[in-house]
Amino acid sequence: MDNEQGLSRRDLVAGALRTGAGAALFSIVPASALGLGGRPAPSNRIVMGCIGMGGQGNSNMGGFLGQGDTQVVAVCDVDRNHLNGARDTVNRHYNNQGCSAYADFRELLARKDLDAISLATPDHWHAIPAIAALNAGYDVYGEKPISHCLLEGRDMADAQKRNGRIWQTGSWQRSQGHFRTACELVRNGRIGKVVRIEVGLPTGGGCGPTQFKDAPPELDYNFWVGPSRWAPYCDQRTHWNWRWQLDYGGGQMMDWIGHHGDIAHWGMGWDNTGPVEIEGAGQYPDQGIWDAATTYYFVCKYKGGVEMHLANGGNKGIRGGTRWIGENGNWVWVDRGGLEAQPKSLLQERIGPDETNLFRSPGHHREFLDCVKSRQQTITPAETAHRSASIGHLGQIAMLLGRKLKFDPVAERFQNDATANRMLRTPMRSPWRL
Amino acid sequence: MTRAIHIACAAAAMAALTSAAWAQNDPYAGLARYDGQNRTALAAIEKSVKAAQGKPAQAAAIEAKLAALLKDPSAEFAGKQEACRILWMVGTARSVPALASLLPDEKLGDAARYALERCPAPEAGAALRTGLAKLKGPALIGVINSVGNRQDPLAVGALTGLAKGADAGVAQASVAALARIATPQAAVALNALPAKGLPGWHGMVAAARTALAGKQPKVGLALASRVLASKSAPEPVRGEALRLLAGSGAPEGLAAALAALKGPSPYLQIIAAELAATVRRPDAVKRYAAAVATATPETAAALLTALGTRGDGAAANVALAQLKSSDQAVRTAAIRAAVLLDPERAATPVAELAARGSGDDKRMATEWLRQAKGAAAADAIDKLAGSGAAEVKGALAGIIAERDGPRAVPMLMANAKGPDAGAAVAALRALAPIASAGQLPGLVGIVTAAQDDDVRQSAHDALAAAAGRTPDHEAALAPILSAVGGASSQAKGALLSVMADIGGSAALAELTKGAASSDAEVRRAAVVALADRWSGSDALPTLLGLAKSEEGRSLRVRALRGCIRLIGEKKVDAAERVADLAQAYAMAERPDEKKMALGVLAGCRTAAAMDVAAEALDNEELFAEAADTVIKLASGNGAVSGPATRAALEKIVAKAQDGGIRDRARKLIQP
Repeated sequence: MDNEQGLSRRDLVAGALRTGAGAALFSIVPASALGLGGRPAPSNRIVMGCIGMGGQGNSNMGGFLGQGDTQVVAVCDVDRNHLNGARDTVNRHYNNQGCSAYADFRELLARKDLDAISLATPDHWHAIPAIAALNAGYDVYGEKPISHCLLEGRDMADAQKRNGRIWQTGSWQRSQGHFRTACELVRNGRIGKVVRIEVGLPTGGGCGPTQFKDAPPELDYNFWVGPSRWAPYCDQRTHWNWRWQLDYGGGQMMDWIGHHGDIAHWGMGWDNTGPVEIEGAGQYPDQGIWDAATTYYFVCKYKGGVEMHLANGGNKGIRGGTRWIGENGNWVWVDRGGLEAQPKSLLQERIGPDETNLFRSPGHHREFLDCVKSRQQTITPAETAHRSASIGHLGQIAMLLGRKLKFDPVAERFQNDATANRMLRTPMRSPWRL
Repeated sequence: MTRAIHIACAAAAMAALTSAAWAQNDPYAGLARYDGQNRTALAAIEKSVKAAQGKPAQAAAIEAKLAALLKDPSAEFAGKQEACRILWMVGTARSVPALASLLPDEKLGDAARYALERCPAPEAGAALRTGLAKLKGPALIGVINSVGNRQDPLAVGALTGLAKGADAGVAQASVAALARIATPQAAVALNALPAKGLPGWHGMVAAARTALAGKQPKVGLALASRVLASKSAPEPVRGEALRLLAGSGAPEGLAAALAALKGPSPYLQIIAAELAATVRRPDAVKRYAAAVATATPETAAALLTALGTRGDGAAANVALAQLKSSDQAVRTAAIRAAVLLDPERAATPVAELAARGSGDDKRMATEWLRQAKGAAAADAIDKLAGSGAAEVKGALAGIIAERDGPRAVPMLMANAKGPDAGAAVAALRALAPIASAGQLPGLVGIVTAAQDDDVRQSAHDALAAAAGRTPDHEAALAPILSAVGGASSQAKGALLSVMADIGGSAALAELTKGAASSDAEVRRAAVVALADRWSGSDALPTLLGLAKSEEGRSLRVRALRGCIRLIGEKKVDAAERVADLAQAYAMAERPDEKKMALGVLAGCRTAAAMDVAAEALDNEELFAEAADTVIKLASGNGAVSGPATRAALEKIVAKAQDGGIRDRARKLIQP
């Protein structure tokens, strides 16, 4: 994108410095020389509001409560039980009654005293509050996958750039040392030219017949369904289980694509691009409301011919985690359980100062807060998260249509497939819109 | 089971069978009965849709059946909703009437609208526009959203009217739709609305961009100018408008940027300054440069940075003049700009800033001087360094060493011997990475002659570094040995420390002698050098002796720690190391040294080591380290096993407070 398409002020200068006459002469240009000296910086204490207080929302809130320079002052959820629980947690932490509770995120965003938002709603409720928060001038820590459909992700990445805000995605594996080491080995050619990538993700499940009934009184179910198409309530639809339904999530595949798929991209330096060809198939439950693929296998081909093979773990012999395979058969594999390589001696390799050294995170939540203060981009800005999620979105469409698709990662449109292009954006129920 | 339940179950089974039969024989009939549970029929239809790709006749037949299902009053809600979903993917003009008829439907209106929104046929757009005139409430808002998503330019008129209406929800949706459509006509409509809101402003900028990229530059410039001029538009939006204007290359763009430099908004000032790097007008550099003097410091810094990046020498005089600014940020930016635009003239004032400045400007000047090619920078440094001012010499020492390497050594040695302590320290620090054998005598001389502690310490560091780069240890030691006898207590301490680094029998003899000296300062220096710096087990007897007999407790402890360190490094078998460690462990007066010994024991996989560690489990102060040692001895290749090991592990499981340690021990016991 050029600067006319909405890069932030800092992006513009940084871009000019990277490519301009001074690039070779100066390693660092102090912020003061960029005119930042007089900028109002966030106060030493970052005031936060949290939207979506389920399991992940509470986990993220705990991460922020543990930081000495953060003050959580507001929480929001459409489930009164979740909301009250989160409010009580905050009040206990600060030993006061200062936390406000909101059932509508728009009321929380209308406050004037916030610096940043933590967003951990179900996937179908990511884009609307995220873009509203960015447009309102807030920095956002948002959960993965960033979007519920590909073009929502594009809108979110553009909104971050247009508003010059900070965004951190919950793809926290980038803040773990052994994932970074794996990516550095790949980036620095320790396995030679990468010819194949394997990404193993969890296997899904079905739920069988369900009983529709009235929603429990503590849940504002209409708000919970929000922009998704209407569907009657049942216990298997909402909390936690939303992720197994295509109306709200994308199955285990989308739930994890922002982790192992994201790491695959990081290792390849593909934070600003995506596949050019996608093909695959999935098995979908024929009963019950959980309709996301339970087993799946799809292949994304990237410019230059490298193929990324993604499957539920064990399917097609693909092991859970991320594995990059080099032209000579050497490989690096990583997941939360560890880091392995062939030959093993690769694990003793040291990355020199003149090689590609990836960012060493002080912790995923901590880094977000540091960037809120410094106005530097995080390790997982919205564009990066959008590209990681796009692997899954494109695979989802290819599996649902059952044919090979060609994709232009610059224009972000399929080539010669009108049906596939119609599936790049999910419609929204009235009155919701982006 | 009651009769009623039997009947209910039988009915459910019949329904399932019937549904499955429908699905098999006529999936459309099955879809009509779809209740959100059994997707067999739906899957069959989806399969036929995939098969119909590229086969218009088959696709048309499927679409007709789906449209018919939508009109079937007996079909279930879920079945119709799924039919709409499939049409959302593959619908054409053929299904528009059926879908349009559902738009007012409270339950199915949204689903039908989705299909119309995605359908590229003009008939779908027309049906939605018709809905704009007929629908109310949520259904109307949904259609407005869909028209916006389709970016339908034919809807601008209707949306403009709706945007002026009394229903706030409808009006806001209409503004957002106009913004998404973003044609110049939509932008004109938005501009005329009293309350545009954020979507409205974004829409105007988007429309301006569209117009500038197309064949309507005047419209685009006018729209962008209106947004920029509006005080009520948010600053990021106004910033986007300014970028559009400046990027257009039109005279209005440069004028707007220069005006913004002087305007009240710091945000827009910075954006305007940054645009100095790129704005395309013949007189841009000259006019931007003229603005530096009157800009705020922040804006002036951003301006200079941008002008430097642009690389047009017409701004050089301004950059050079700003090297004398009273504001550090401006000076810093001016350094960068000046050396990029006119390095010859910048060299002397930048060298002055490197020598006399502080903070960012000094760092930036230094970074440039360290790598600057050409005679101007070298001349400027030489001239300043030769001027005699001590603080200048000190400041430039590192730069000179980095630029000139070994050739800078004579000058740095001269500075190191000079009367100014600050300059001497700087020169010695600069010498440390480049000094070699030839400088050893001189550096020894500085160590012995130094009156200032910092100078002596810096000379010691440079001497140690130079000795470390000298492969002939005897040659490195010779000047030190010849000087140590006549040196002061402090100098002798420094020289003994370097001797410990070099090693060898002569050095060890001198250190052993020093450790027995009656001069407390010398004795302490010798013990510390042996304990902390000596490498090799030949010093063990001396250190063990000191650990036993040294009168001062702190030196005894230091010597014992040195013993344990050297035992760990000793190239002997594990049994011998354990014996030494057991001796050291027994001599330890404090838990700290016992813990240190336990840590080294963990690397000696013998039963004797396990015995020492197991016994330490009974000492509460040592429990954590002892447990760690036991676990390490009992783990991996060559693990120590047997009844004593198992007993130690069981003791850990029983006593450990730390869950992690407990689990590690338990795993080793489990089969």
